[in-house]
Amino acid sequence: MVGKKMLYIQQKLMLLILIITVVFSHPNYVESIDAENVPDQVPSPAPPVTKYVAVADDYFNDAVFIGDSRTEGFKMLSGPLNAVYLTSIGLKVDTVAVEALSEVPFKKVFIMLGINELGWVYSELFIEKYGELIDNIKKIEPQAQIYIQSILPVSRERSESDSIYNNENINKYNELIQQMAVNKNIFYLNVAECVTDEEGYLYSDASTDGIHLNKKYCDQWFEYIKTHVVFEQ
Amino acid sequence: MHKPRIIIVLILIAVMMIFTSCRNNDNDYDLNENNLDLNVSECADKLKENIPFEDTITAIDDKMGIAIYQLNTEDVAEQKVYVSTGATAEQIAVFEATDDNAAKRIETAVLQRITEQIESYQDYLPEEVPKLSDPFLMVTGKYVILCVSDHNEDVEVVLDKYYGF
Repeated sequence: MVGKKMLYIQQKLMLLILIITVVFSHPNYVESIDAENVPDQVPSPAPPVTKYVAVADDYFNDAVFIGDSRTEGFKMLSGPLNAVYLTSIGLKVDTVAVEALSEVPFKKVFIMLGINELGWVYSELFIEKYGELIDNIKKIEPQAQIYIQSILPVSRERSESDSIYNNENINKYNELIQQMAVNKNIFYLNVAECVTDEEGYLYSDASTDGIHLNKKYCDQWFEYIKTHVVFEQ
Repeated sequence: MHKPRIIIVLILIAVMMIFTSCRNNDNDYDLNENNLDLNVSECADKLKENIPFEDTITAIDDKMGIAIYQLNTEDVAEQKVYVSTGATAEQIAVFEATDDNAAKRIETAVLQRITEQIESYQDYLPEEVPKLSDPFLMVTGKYVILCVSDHNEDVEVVLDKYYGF
């Protein structure tokens, strides 16, 4: 009797287990559970975020800045006080007193020239003279890192009203400068992008004459330099 | 009988006039070169606030002020310098020198920079040359005040209003 009772109970249990198994394995039931707990699609990995590290101020202890009135403004308003500046109003690629560099120790050079040469008849002459300047710097300090900076844009108002100082000419010169940097195996620093709006103009609040930057934008220019130079950690 | 009264009144008037001329209030500065006590930063700020400059002018670091005017650090006790973006030649520079002789050296250096700027702007922005050729430059005791703008008369008004110059 006991044995038959046990067998009966065992059969009922097996039936119960079978029922439970069938119910929980039904696709609809599984889906309803999954719908509550599982998202519609597996998220793809987020694209890597490039983080730029700004160099410390002492990075510019052995730096030289060469440039025209825009760099002169940069020097006074935002530039590193510990750097050397070879800047002057109206400076051009063929008027840089590069021999002055023989008297100062330097390991990095930051150059921005070109806006005063936009009116030159032959852009090829501009690049030729720029190349000569680079070669002369290399002769003085062969180990120096040379950064050529893109010419900063001008404002919409200036660009649309000036036959020489406009962004069409600037962009053309920047292409030539970039190619020269490749040819000379030096760095091209596209600082222009940090002060350019969505339409390719200098931000409207960056300047009173559309060319020379105020402190806010000189600060941005310097920040771009600090976060885009090559250095050993 | 009236004569003594008149004399007394005249004496009282004279005493009041003398007293008034010696009185210091918050807006008066002693113009005696030996007793000048000018707040150079405040003076520069007053000029910036009250002169209608064409360009944005910004105060610069003291080290840069020394550098652009090529001054001897030992000559300068206090300073405040405002420069433009480069769109114009406008600038403000107020210095307190360490003594009167240092003030003269600062004046010489300032004039030298102005001369160099005239040369630079001659070809670059010739319309800036007139204001450089006629800068407001005052040396009084150990103080040197430079302001390059198109508004020298306004500079005089500001200095007179706030400092009695």
